[in-house]
Amino acid sequence: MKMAILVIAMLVFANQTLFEQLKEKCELSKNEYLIVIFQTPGNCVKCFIEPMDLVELIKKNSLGINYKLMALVSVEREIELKVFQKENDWKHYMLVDDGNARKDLGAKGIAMMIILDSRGKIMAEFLPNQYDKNIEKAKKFVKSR
Amino acid sequence: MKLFILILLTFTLISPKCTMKTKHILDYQPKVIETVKIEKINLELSESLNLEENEDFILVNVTSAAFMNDGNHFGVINGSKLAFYDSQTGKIVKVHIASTEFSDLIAKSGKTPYIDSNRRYRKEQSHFLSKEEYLEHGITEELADSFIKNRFSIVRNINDTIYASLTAYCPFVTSKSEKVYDNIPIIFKFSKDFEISENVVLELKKDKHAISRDFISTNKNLYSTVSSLYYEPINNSGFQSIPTVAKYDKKGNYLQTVSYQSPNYLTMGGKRLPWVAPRIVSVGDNVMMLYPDELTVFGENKKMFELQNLPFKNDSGFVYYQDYQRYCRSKEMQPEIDVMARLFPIKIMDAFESDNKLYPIILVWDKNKPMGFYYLIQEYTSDGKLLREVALDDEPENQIRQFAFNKYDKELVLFKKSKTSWTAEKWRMR
Repeated sequence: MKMAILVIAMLVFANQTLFEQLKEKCELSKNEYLIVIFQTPGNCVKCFIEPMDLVELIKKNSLGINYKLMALVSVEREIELKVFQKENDWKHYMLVDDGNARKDLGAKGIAMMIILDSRGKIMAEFLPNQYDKNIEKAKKFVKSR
Repeated sequence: MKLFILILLTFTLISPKCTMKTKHILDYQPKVIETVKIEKINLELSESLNLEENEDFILVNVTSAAFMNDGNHFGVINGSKLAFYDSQTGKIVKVHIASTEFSDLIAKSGKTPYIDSNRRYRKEQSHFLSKEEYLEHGITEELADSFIKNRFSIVRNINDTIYASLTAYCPFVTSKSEKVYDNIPIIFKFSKDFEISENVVLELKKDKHAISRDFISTNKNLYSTVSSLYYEPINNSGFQSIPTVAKYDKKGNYLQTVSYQSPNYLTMGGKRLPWVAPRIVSVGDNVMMLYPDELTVFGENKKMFELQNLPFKNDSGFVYYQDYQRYCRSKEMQPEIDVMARLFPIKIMDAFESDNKLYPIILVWDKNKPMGFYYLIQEYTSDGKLLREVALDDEPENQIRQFAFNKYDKELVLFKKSKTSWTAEKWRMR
């Protein structure tokens, strides 16, 4: 019996989509949005600052918008998340990106940040080196809520 | 009917998914060149050493490694940290952190930001701010912490002394009170007890911005990789290219450019490739430069010799690269490793010197191999005669992440990462 439960649990876990895992990890509720930034430890300063500037912009203008912030970090071992956390003084949620996260979430291969609704639908997608366009997208997202 | 076919054909040709222009690139297969069997370098596994990790020092990636001249210790660079290990026990003996404090060395070096009339924030003379000046210019501790992310880049054993370069960030302020953070290489010399004994801040020039990708120190000079957005004439030859390596005096003052992007790299993208940086090695009296994709060894402003007996060439890659990049941009995707491996089937990963011989470490993409690639280590005399070589396979569960050479014990050392730990595999070379 125990074995059967274990197998079922494993199957359920195996079938859980990445978005479901993220949702569970940060207990995303129905009226909340999930902001996901894609990171690699050792990236350039700009690669962290660029998405965080957008998060700051959304935060400043997001009266009434509830969101949670998650970093998907390209590392090979769970323990390596601590390096990212320490280097960037990261106080939000984080998970290992096995290299397929963008694809699994339906984002473009070069996306640096996405905003998902509580059902996993991409509401806004931000690409690197598109400073003005990204600000417009962030403003548009805030305005449309 | 004819009109329908014409319209269909037109749509096929302009479809961004796979135009006629990119199809031959996506389907490209490099031609195999027949190689000859030559004498083999003998590699014998002598030890596999587990590397210590702890709460404060987790190895994410070994980006550079070098053995001290007694062979008893080695340094590895892991992000912002440089750690020295005991090579008998695998224990950490000293860790240097690339703290923000190092940025002050730049301010106090007397080096200044360069003027560039094409850049809004570089039009006037300014100076690098010392830490004491941060607050008066509105740079709080929090701001400094988020912008000043200093990192160690390369560690080398040069003439039995350990040196390491650091990418350091230092702010300057424009006349309009804009804050700009320059990245500047600092080269540190280490004592035998792993402490910093000297430092040199490299001078930045508008068209030769020193970058900390590689460096060496010879008896008289320092050499560093540089980057530039500008073309310059090569030795009054009438040809122009982009500087990639510059020579400095021992105080870090720029003397001259000694290497430029080759015609192949100019075809590949020129200014759009800001990070064309070779590995710089000193072999006998020669400073040699080996670029990742070029199959030629360069000396100071000259070609020295071609790498030989390689099973592929990269020629088509240089020609197709820009079109492939355009294709990727149109699809908002990253270049695929499978395509890049076919465009550039040969990649020069590293090189080292031993007994006046050059040893390039070459990655060969080969679909017939279980992992799709193998490493080829060759041995050349300083005038380019290929003597021996050996092929080295990688393991999927315990992959090679970095190479180093222990001159004292004549060992090639492979830094390998598994799902649980890091090891340094020592292979005696005979």
